[in-house]
Amino acid sequence: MPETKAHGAAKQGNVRKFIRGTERYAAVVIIDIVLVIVFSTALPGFLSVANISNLLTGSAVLWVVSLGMTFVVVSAGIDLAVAAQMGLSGYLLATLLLAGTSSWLAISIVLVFSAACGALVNGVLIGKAGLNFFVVTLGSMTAFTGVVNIWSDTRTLAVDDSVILAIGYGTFLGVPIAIWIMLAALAIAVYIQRWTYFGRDVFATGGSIEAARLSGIRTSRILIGVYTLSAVCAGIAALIQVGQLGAASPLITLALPLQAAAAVLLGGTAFSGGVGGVVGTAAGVLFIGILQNGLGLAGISSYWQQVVTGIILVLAVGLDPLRKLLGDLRRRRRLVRQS
Amino acid sequence: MSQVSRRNMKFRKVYTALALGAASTLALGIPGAAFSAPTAAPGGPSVALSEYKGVEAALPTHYAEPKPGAVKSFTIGFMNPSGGNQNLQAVQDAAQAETKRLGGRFIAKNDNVDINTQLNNFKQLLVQGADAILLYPLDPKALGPAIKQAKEKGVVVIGYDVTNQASDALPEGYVSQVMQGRDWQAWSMAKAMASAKPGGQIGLIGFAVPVPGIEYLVQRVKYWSEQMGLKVVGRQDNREDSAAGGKVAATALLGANPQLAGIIAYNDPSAAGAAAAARIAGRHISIVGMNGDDFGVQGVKKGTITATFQNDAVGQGVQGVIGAYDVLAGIKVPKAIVRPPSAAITASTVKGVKSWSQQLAELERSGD
Repeated sequence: MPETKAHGAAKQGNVRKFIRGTERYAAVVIIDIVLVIVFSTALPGFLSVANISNLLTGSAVLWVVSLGMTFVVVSAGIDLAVAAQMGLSGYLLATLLLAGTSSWLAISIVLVFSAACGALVNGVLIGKAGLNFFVVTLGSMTAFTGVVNIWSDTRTLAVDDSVILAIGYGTFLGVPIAIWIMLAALAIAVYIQRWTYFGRDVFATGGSIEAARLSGIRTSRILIGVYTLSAVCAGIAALIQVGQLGAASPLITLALPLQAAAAVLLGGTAFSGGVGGVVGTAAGVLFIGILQNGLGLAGISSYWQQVVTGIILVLAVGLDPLRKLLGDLRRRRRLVRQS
Repeated sequence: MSQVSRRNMKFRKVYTALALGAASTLALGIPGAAFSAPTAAPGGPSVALSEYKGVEAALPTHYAEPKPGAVKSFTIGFMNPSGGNQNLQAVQDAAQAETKRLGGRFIAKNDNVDINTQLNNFKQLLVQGADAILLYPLDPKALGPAIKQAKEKGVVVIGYDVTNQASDALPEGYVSQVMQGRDWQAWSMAKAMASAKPGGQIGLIGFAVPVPGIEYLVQRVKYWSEQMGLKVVGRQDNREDSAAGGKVAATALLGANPQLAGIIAYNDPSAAGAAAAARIAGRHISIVGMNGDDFGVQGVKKGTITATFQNDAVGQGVQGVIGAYDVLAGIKVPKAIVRPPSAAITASTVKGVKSWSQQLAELERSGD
């Protein structure tokens, strides 16, 4: 009997732990579900396979970039250079392919190049030199954009490599490869966040860089790591984008870092650092994707889509102090009960 | 006579009136105007100013007039690359009015100047059952696989300004394109400047974002300006596609070139910015813009902009739908048509200019 009781208590503890772990992004998940119910009831084509496939593959670039951005935001920073990094990596990919490099070698070079850019530019300047993350990533964004424009001479490079096009349009087991990449990226990000020292150190660094340093964490390495990770995610997003467009374009989506930051915030990661996670970010990206897709199908102007997304973003971020207040109250009640 | 013929006649009348007005303005109001003879640029090469004879002159300006009822039911998807742009919004509104007139369903998407959004919108239009998509590609070489998908589904894709030159091959999947005549526009702008400041030193304002169509326009402005005896001494790019960005670019041009006689800007907001920069610097120069939007028209009225040219936004919207309708009705369409810019809008012709909203109101009335 006591064993059964202990087992039950442990189970209850696990459930509580799980609920506590999800409470930061539970609201977005609930909103996602409500949106799906509303849109599928109101719009007959919303739940069609083609539309769901469009919704997910259309969110693939933002998904991968946002996962990388989550680590940066948890470390109390932001990476404004992700879109420019994507443009640079995409253009390198197309140039290598047109020069006759094999697909997999070109992909490997692009990922290594992205990692090097993230580590040596943003990572070193922020982590080692201690410069402000906003200024550094703004500067690298501008510089990378200029490099893309000079390198491309405003010309788009068409890509007809079968591997790259398969990333954009191919399927595996009937599911688009872009969706498989999204799932793999999420699984890896969850693993890094929860089961590696690096993941835990990112939270510690973001919570208080001084405390982390005093407790023996090499915070400069952690910061180099998060900006490297973010740049690698931008490199992967570039592979998806080039595959979907069938070309490497010098046009850079400068709004992408802000969209990614919005998804990260919606997913419960705090801008102050130290709190959050990639699962919430995934829910945040889905929120943006579902909302835009549904409102688009309903024929609602993109301006209203922006208004609605903005309001919900403010509400979601506004929930943060409320969450803290409720958490404090709960803690106080617990203390009173214990005393 | 069909409604379309009547409307085309109206457009022709507007153009004729504008052309006559502009001709008289340039002949009487702008010093150095010479329409019957080549430019009198001292020492420079010369080219006839009277008529555009460039590569776009030979293109048709209309698709075949549609027979209403030839297609029972159809859906037109319109992809607006930048809903906040007055010119593009006018193209969209005209396409919507024409679709309504022909009895079709119209779905518009705003790409927000984002190539990923454009791709997603294109794919969503396929899911929504569009029979034809009017696409203004942000990057004409991109979207290849998606357009191929549309072709496989039998969806007609008509592009706007897909290639810079009509002689360039259309990318696979496009049935035809409506061109706004970048070379024609460039010729018109250079002509207005050559008439105002013959043989003068001029600066160009381009766009810092690498949009191929705008880059081509700026290159052609340089070409035609030099052909007309003007001396292009510098170029600066507008980083923001706004009047503020145009002001920054013009300030740099004015600072670097004390003898600058004029600035040709790729659009009216840039021209308005250049006018502000010249005023601040206390310089009296000629400024030529393009599009004929509120910035340009107001600038011409105030006398800060020498000339602008109205882009035929309404004609482009209407013709895009007609081209798609023709293909759906089984009528063969040319690979490209061009909608040339209006004649110069100057201080003396500006009163007679019909704004896009006035043209749209007329179009909507003709459809009722």
